[in-house]
Amino acid sequence: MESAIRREVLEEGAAIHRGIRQWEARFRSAMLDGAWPHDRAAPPLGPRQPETRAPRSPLHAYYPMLFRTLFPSVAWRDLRELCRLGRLYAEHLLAVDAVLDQGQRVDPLELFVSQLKQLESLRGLHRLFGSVHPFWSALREASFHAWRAVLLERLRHGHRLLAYSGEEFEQIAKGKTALFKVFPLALARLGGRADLESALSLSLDCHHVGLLLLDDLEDWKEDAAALRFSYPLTRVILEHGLADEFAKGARPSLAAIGDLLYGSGIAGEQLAAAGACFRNAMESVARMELPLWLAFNRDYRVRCTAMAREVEGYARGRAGSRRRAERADEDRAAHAPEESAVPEVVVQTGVPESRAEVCRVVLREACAALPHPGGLLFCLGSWPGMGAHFWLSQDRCRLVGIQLDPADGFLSTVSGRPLETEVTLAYVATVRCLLQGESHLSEPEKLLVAGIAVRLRLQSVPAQDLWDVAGMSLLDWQWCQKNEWLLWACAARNGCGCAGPVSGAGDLPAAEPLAAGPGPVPRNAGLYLGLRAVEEIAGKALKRSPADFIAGWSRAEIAKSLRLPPC
Amino acid sequence: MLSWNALGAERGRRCPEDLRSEIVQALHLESRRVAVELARLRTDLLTGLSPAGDLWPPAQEPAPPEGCPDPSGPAGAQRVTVLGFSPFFYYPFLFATAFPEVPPEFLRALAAANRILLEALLTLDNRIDRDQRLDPLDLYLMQGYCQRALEILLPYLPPQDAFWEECDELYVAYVRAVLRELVFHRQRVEPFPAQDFRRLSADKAGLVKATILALCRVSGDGRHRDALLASQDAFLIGFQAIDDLKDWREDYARQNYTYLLTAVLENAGRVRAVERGERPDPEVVGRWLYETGLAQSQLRLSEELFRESLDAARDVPVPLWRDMVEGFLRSARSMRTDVAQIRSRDLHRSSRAALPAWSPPAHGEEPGCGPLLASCLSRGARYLLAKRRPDGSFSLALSPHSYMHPARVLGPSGAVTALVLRALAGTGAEEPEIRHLLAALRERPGTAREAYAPSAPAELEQAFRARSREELERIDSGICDGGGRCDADALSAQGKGFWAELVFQAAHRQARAPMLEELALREARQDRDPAGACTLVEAAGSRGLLRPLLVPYLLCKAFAARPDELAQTAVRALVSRVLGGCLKSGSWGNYTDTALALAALLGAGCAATEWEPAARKLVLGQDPDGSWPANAIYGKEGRCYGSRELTTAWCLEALAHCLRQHRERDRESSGRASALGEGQGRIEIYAHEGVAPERFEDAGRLLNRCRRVLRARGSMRVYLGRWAGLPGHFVLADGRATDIGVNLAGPHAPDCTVAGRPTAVELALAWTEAVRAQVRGPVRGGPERLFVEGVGLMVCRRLWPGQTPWEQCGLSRLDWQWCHENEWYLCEIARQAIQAGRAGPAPDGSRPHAAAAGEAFAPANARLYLALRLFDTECRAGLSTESLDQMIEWEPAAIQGQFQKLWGQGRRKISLCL
Repeated sequence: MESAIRREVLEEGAAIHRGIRQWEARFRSAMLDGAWPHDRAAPPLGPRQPETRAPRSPLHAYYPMLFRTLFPSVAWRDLRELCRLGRLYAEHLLAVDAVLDQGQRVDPLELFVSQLKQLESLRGLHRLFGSVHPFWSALREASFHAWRAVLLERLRHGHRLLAYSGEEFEQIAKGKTALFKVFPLALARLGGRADLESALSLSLDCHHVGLLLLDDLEDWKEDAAALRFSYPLTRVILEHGLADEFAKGARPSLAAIGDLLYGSGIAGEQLAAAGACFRNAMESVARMELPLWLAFNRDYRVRCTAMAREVEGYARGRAGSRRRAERADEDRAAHAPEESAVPEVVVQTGVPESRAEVCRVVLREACAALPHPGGLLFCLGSWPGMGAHFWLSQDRCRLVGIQLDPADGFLSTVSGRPLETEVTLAYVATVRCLLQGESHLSEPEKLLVAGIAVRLRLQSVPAQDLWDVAGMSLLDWQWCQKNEWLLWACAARNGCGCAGPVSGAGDLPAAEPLAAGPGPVPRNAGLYLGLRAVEEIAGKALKRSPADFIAGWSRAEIAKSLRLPPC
Repeated sequence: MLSWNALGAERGRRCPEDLRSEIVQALHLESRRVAVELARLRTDLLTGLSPAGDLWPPAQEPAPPEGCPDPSGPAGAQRVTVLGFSPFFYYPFLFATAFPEVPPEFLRALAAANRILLEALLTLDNRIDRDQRLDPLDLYLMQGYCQRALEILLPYLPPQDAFWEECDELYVAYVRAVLRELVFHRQRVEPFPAQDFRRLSADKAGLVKATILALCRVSGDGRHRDALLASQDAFLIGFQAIDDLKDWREDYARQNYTYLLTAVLENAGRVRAVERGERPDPEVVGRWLYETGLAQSQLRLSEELFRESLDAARDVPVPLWRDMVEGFLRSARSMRTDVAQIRSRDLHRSSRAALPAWSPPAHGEEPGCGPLLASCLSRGARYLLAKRRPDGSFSLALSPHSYMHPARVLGPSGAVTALVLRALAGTGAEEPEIRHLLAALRERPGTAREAYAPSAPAELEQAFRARSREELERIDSGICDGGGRCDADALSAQGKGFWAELVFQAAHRQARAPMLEELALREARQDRDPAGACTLVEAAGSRGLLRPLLVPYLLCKAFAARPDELAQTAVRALVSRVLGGCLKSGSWGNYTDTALALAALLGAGCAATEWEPAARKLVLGQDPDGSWPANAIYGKEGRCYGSRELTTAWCLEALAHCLRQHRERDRESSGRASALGEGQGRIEIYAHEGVAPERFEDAGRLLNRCRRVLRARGSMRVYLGRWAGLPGHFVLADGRATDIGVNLAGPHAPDCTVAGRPTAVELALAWTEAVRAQVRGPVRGGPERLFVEGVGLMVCRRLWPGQTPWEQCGLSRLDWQWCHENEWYLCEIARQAIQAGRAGPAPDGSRPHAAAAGEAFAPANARLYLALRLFDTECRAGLSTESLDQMIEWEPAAIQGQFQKLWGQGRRKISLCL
């Protein structure tokens, strides 16, 4: 019975979520009409988030429904509407939170949509509660608490290493989640049971504190990269005397921090505290008829226990894993490519031999940073109709074509990129395909590949301007900086299964992200976005060498990390 | 109380004359109500975040906004034609007459909701426009504003009302326009067809049209809907066209290629160059804009749109709206006329926009400004020669405005001729053209110079007629009372301008005139006339006013050549009085005053290098024919009298002084260039016992470099040592020398001061504060200190461009990042402190309240970050062209104004011409 209700709730949540997506898509399409290239398909429907095949039923789409057994008098229609409005408001808050976390990278479209969601939610709430209702004062109070907590957290623990007590964390956690609590509690008002509010509020607070304890543990890498000193991070840094390093701007590696977090018992204590919070959330409403809510908290407790077991195992095996890692590094050093491993280069008739020499030098540098499994042949020439670079498999050899631009004296390729950049890009892409055993790259992979290629070039010619390396003008580069949000939207759309931009011919897949097309996006903008993508991924990576990214990160991991569809 | 319905009943096309004052007062009241509500909402929202006052000081009740006269006061009785509020504070009231059924409460609610929602949108729009990131406070306030606006409107327009769907459509159109502009016209010079401009401009500001939609819904009367929407559309586009012209410099700095800027670049064939990153200098773009007539076309376009707006609302009874649009139309028209005049002048000036260095050239360098000054003098002399009348006299002109436009030549004037000759004599006649001119003028008989046109003011002519020595001595004895003093009754018949002229003539003729001398001394010691007026005659209700600076000019000329102590005292007092009128720009406003002041100062022996901006203004202001635009020298009963020839003569006199000094410096500098700088002020350095000798030497070297970046205005004594309990540096100024103390940290931090900053940075900050003290006295109050520290850090940035800013501010890198992340917080604390008037010195005398209030959370030295950002914001945007030497002289009021601009509630004054 309980599982049937639960399924029903989840399905309802999924339906609400779908409805909101459709509502949002209508507005997004209308807003982007005109900003989008006229001859392209419709823009992405939703925000930049990975879409899974199963219908999603996010928490805040059904949150009040977890309490519906306690308030049977509330009409189903009102309950559903409350869920919808709560989800809209939550999405608005999440978008605001994302803006705060993103810093410079602000997506104006996301903000405009978020503002619309807030207005829609408030209008709906007025329909539900009227203009004069205690709900409004509760919402106002919750808003004060939430924002105060956000500000205090940023002022005291963002880019500052001050002591962080458990009590302070609890206060901030309760404050930050105060607005999410308002909607389930409104149910008590709708059901005429205001007397239950305080007990429910206590339980919700406990649950939210537990959630944030878990969240901080899951997001420690992003937090450390962004210098957001969360509760566990602060403990790790202050207890292990790393504060001075941070103050000087010399950050310890993520691997070292992770080692201390999981190996010193801090993560275990954090999980135990989270488990206790979920238990308290259950105990404070144990006598009430709330089977869904109790089961919901029980699930989290189970998750805490499982995670604690993993952490314990990690601590035990820490010494062994370090030895294994050292051995792996030694192996890699032993198998470093030698001079002979540089791929062979041939040129078409008419192409100066000096171009082949440039190509060889570039490949030598690229091979030193990123070894390849062998069997590569680079061919420089002109093949009308083909992309700036492409590859063909011939028996056991992979031929990489680099199409030079004769009009430019063979200095750059038909994409407008310098030959050096094109060769590096083609090389990194080919290595990725070979190592992953794939014939083509997904859109997120293309971004990673492009970013790593540009980075490799910059290591070789540190004095060269970024835009020159990417084959762009300064103005185009600045355009990309200002309109990064649009580039991400393009990348998300390309990844959603829309026809990819074509840089090859016939059935050959495009080898680069955001290939040139009509409209406002400048040529080679994909390389800019690639650099930004690598920056984003590197912020969450324990190991940051090009070889680690190309060989170690799976297609799904890259997509998840960039919040792009994985296909 | 005004009845909006009664006004509507008039159904006239224009606002009834008898109700004009009443309407303005009513709109003032309504606007103020909205402004107070907005301010109160902000205060409530901020108090909600910090109820105990730990984040920022407890909020105070918002004061009535500035610029809004109290309707019950004396101003209320006057005819007021300008409202101190933007129309968006009272927007619905402009249409109230077309919807007489709508109750005033709804109009008020709508005005408040409109303005509050606009505030939310403007916050977001501003951030996108200025490439600034959104901070937590922005997001919080935006959320609070949206919520409040809905709370106000929903009781009148329930959620299910179709109004909200229409609003959503307007919102979508607004977003679409913003995004389209962002994607196609920022960092990108794309073709911008006029049609796109119209659509984008209308959509971008289209949310204000919700006002009409709401009025139609609530009144149930949709008859005027389409006409009013069309009228609003046209008005908003016209408004945008003017806005683009006004803000072109900011737009260009932000690479926001508006319709206008795109046209400018296309017209100049520079689109490709801009795309390559080779952006022309803003001054060049400005020339293209004004010289090619594009600015006029843009204004013509806005005029057409305002007319279109009026046409659309032709049959709708909205007199207030029509009057407002007509006001904009008139303003655009007069701007266009002004631009046309400026254009012809700029065409000439543009050829000399890049002036050579003002100081004499060092060996092997390009020639300085000498040849340019000489050319100005020659061309001016040629102009005067051409304008000389056959009898050798010069003309007087009459105009209704003091800027002498339009003007009518009245005929010859003895007064003008005498003053022109006097000015030319002051040039020293070193240039051949001037010598030639003077010779030509001397050919004519002196009597011809006495004649004047019948319509010229007789009292002016009489005052400046030449008098013999005997006559002057007679007059002098005539104003002597029995006790050997000036007789006040005898004096009162004439104004001070008259007496100043007599003093000059007496000095010139070497007459014995002790009474006139006493009179001149008394005048010299006086402060400026409070009303800024200077009488020539004052009799029988007839009051003629002379240009005020003419008096110190005449008196300086009378006394400058005399070596005796009495005369020199008078000259010092006069110089100080003239300096009091100098503007922030370094000039005295118009050309006539600038020339008079400069001629007086330089004639009294002041150094021309001190007044370079004023001289530059004159050089750049010379018209193609060699003359300068005139200003009235005399005004009476609404008539203004002036002479282009006279202004030109004064300009020539001032520039001739500059040239003479320039040549003298040139001669002096040829033999001893290394001695330059000795006269700029002596610097003595002392060190406490125990201070390492190398520190002492370093300080000397550094101060020498500081001096080159920011000029000292007097001598300085610098002490290096340790003073327990005092801040990192302190400055004591006693009028003669300025003492600087730099408080070094102990041996644990050998190269730091007690403030945690590097000693070199501390010295540069102290130097800046000392220069400020020399210019404006000791630093008073938080804003001024923050400002001076900002200038100090700019000095540091110039001295050590390679050093990281956090090191210069004495912050760790992490602390710097904190400040960067939480700049909004530092700004908010400073903003609140300044707005609440808590700008006085902090208890310890070292820290501004602005930063002190936030020290619970902010790292030490965070205020230096804020100070640096203040200047960074201005300088990076390419908006500020002032040098540090000019900035350090800013008046406290100008600093306060700058802070208000940055952090105050922005409110533009727009004329409502009723």
